[in-house]
Amino acid sequence: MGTRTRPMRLGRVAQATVAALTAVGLWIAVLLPLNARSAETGNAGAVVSELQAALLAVMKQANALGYRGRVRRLTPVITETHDLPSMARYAMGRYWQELSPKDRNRLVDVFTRFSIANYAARFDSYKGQTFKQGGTKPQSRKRILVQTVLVKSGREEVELNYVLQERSGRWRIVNVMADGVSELAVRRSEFASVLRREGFPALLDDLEAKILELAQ
Amino acid sequence: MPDDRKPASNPRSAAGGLAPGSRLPLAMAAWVAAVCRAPVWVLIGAAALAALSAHYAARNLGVNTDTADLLSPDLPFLIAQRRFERLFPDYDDTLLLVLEADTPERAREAADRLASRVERESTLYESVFRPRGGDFFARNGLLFYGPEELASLADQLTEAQPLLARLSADMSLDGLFAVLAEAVESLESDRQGELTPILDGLGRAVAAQRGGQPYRLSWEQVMRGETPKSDANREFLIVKPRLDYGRLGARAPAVERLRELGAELGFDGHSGVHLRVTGEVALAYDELRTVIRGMEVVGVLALLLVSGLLYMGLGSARLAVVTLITLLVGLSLTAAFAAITVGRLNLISIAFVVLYVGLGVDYAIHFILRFEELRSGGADPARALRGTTLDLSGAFALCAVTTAIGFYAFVPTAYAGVSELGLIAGTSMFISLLSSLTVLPALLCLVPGTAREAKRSRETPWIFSALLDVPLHHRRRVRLGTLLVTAAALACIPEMGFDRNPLNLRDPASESVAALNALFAEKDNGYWNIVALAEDADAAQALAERLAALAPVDKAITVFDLVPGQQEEKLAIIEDLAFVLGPGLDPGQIRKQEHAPDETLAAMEGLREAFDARLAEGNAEPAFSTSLASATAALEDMHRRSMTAPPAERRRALESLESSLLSTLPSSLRSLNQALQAETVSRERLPRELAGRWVSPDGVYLVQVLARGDLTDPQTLARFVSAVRDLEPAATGPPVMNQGAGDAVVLAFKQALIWALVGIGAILLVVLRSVPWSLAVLAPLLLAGLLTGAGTVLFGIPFNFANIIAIPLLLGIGVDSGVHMVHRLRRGLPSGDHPLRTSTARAVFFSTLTTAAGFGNLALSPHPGTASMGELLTLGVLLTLVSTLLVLPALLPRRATCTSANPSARNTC
Repeated sequence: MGTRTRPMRLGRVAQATVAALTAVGLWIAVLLPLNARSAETGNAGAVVSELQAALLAVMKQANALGYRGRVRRLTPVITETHDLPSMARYAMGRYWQELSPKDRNRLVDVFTRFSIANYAARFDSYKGQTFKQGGTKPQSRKRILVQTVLVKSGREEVELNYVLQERSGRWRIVNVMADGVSELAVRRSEFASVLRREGFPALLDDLEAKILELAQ
Repeated sequence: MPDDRKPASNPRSAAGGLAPGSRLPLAMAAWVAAVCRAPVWVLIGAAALAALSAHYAARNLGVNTDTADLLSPDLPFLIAQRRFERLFPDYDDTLLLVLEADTPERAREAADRLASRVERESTLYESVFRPRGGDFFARNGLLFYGPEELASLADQLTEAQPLLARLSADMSLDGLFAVLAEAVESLESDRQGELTPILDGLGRAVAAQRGGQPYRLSWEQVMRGETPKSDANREFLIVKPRLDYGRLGARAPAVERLRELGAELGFDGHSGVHLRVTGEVALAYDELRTVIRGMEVVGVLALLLVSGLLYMGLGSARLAVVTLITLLVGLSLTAAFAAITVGRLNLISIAFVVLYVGLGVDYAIHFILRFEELRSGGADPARALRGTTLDLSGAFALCAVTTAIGFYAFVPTAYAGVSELGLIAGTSMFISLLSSLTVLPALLCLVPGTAREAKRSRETPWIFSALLDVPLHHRRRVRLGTLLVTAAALACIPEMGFDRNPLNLRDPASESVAALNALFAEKDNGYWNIVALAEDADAAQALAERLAALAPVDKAITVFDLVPGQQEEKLAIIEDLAFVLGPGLDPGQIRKQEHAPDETLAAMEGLREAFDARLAEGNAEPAFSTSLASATAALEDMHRRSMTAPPAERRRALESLESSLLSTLPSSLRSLNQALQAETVSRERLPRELAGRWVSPDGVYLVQVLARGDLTDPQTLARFVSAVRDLEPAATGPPVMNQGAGDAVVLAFKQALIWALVGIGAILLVVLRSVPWSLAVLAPLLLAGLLTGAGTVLFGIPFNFANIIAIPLLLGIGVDSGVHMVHRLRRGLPSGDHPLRTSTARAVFFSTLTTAAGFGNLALSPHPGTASMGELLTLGVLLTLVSTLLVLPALLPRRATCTSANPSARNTC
């Protein structure tokens, strides 16, 4: 599924090959015995841990790094641990189908920077927060739910649940639920609102503006 | 029509078989004399026979209320209907339960509960089916949306996700208030519509709480972002009862138990859920109940009125009782005859009782009045009886034969209901004649009364005497008036209509009819669809396609419509949606935090402030502003009342508000989760209970055709039926049945009327041996018929399945009255009177009035079919009376009404 953004540059034969491989991959995923899948859930938990460790590290040196430093440090981690092209596609919903390949790439690019900016802006200080990892739950259609809790200073807790799916041989985050609120649902509603009113170029501008806003 | 020219033959010599001196009257007179020799024994015999007959009839005379059986089974649409019923028994003899609730959630939940209760009553019910519900539609319902619709629903749900997720974490008033406050503050202007349903719900919930009314906010509607719509809040159950038609009232337990269950579950509207039981079985049951209830009232009233009129007309209670006894003996004999020949009465043929009372009483009245006339002239009882019999038995026989022919003419028609009525009523005329010439003379012999009494009764003041002089004083004017009225009536005839909607015959206040009318009012035509059968899948699809293309057709449905199109695309949307909504919306994970009332009230204040702030910004859309303002007012009201209430009451008020606002959330989430699990639907994977309603076990496919527009409009119905039948002649279903039955009935009556008129005319010609006199009998009949037809147009009483039986009755009365009048006129008048002051005119007047009184009561029945019968009959009978007493004498030649034997009446001529 995640291969969809790239094959545009490939030739026809290559496209067919990718499609065939994807199909085979799907079959294998479906046919994989349960124990094989449970072996992988460990990996999924590790992906979330990797992200949360990076976030903690950045938070602890938040001031020293500054916003730009946080962005620089988080960019490789976030692009590795997230399936950002898929997230961009889900956030667009049905409008995705209407986009040209070029526009899709532009959107994935700005969405990636927007997501990183969001993390960098939100995790900007350390007040003794910790992450506790709970269990994992296999979801339908080869997805996994990793449950964690963000314990803020004091006793305040935020339930952070991550949905991961496989892409290029590793589990990647495609959605985050903070106290049940789906990030993708929020994004999709926001996007739809802008798209309905002003169209796609405005959405790109809007996101760029938000990135600038987050940088301050 | 006779005019002023001399009639073709001398009235006196042409009396033929009717003259007092001919064979039949002599034989009758001998019979009456024989009866009079042993009146007690005759009466004992008659009483024994009547008792035996009544007993036999009570035991063996059933009532078949299946209206389809009123028609001849050979009619093509009935053959089609039987095939349909055989192949798809699930549709036959069912009950339709309509559940209406304030919210879709409540309707669904109510349907679930009711269905499981009904399933447990397996001795009464065979099966329960949820046409728009059940697991299949709960799971695959989203696939039946169009792709665009589905996509925008997906957008709606996505927008609602954060709010629903937050609420799931704390499903309390506090949680709701907090979420709403945040949402109102941060909401972008183009998404204000999302909150409107909740804000409106808030306002309504507070108002309901204040008024102590039940209210529940539908979260399903909130999620869809839609304003409440009554259609969505309706659920249907189709219940197939186990019916044993061998038993009278077989439907009662099945229908009554459902109504009991509804009451037990509290589905009487107070709880916000309203159950109505309708469908074929309930309609028939309710109809029978109202008919019977109506008949009880009408029966008692009719008896009182008829007795009163008899007393008035006969001038003596003794004679009224004598008449009633004669009537009852004949009625029990007729009932026994019906039991032997037909066995089961139907809703039409049961009217023989009314017919019998109307016509049977006539002979007795004529007989008694003539008897009294002779008695007052000084004859002793025996001579008076002989004289009466000699005078009248010829006319009686002619009446009996002509009326019977009128009724028998209905026997060969395709309308089995009327055909059976014709047989019973026709024969009853002879029974009535026999009873009037046996029981009546025996009684009169036994208690003859005195000559003085007879005189007194004759002297009863004529209130109508002035009126009765009119036709003779104003002969020309009456003739001219008749001509004008006839012309006007003829102009009305083309407008005459036949109302084919059987619902119009039924009590609109009865539950089953009210429920259906409510559905039709909303153009929900599912109950009245046409069904067609196709031998295989391809034929079914082809037929459905051609039917759907017809203008009066809304859609044609086959089993393949249960397999939604564009599934791949829709499933992708659903899968996407399920993923984006995330696993957070699990009704099993809903949590509720405990909050003290004070906290809740503080949260309420917080929300109100947030609303105020948003309103103060002034940039909201008008609709949103209105909702926001009313929600703010509601919160203020709630807060103020809570603050002043004692603690216990405050808690209760808050709890009730919480339940109004949040209690449907779990079930809404549950249905959402179910709907997100949609999977590919294929013809093969349809559940059997569903597919079985569309494909018979031997592979015949059902095509259901739904009409466009208002089916209660006769023209819409007719267009729909004829369009479908032109394409598919073997189509059936309620609209076809109604239309076809209407056609069959109208045709049956046309045929029967022609045969009756031809038959009656022939008999009159043979017996009277005079064209003008025969026409004189038929003229008032035809005129009354014409005027009644025009009356149906003017008074808006169209013919229908029930009141059309007025026609044979009017025929009977019309012929009888005409025969009596003509007979009397031809025999010459007694001394010192003009023709309308004879006992005959009086008898015609009172027997017709008795009939009108008996039927007039029918108009008071709660059953509109019966009532329209009463209205039409009263109208027709009165018009017959006018035609016979007012028009007929004016039409007859002067010579016929002013005989030389009547010198003292000259001045009136």
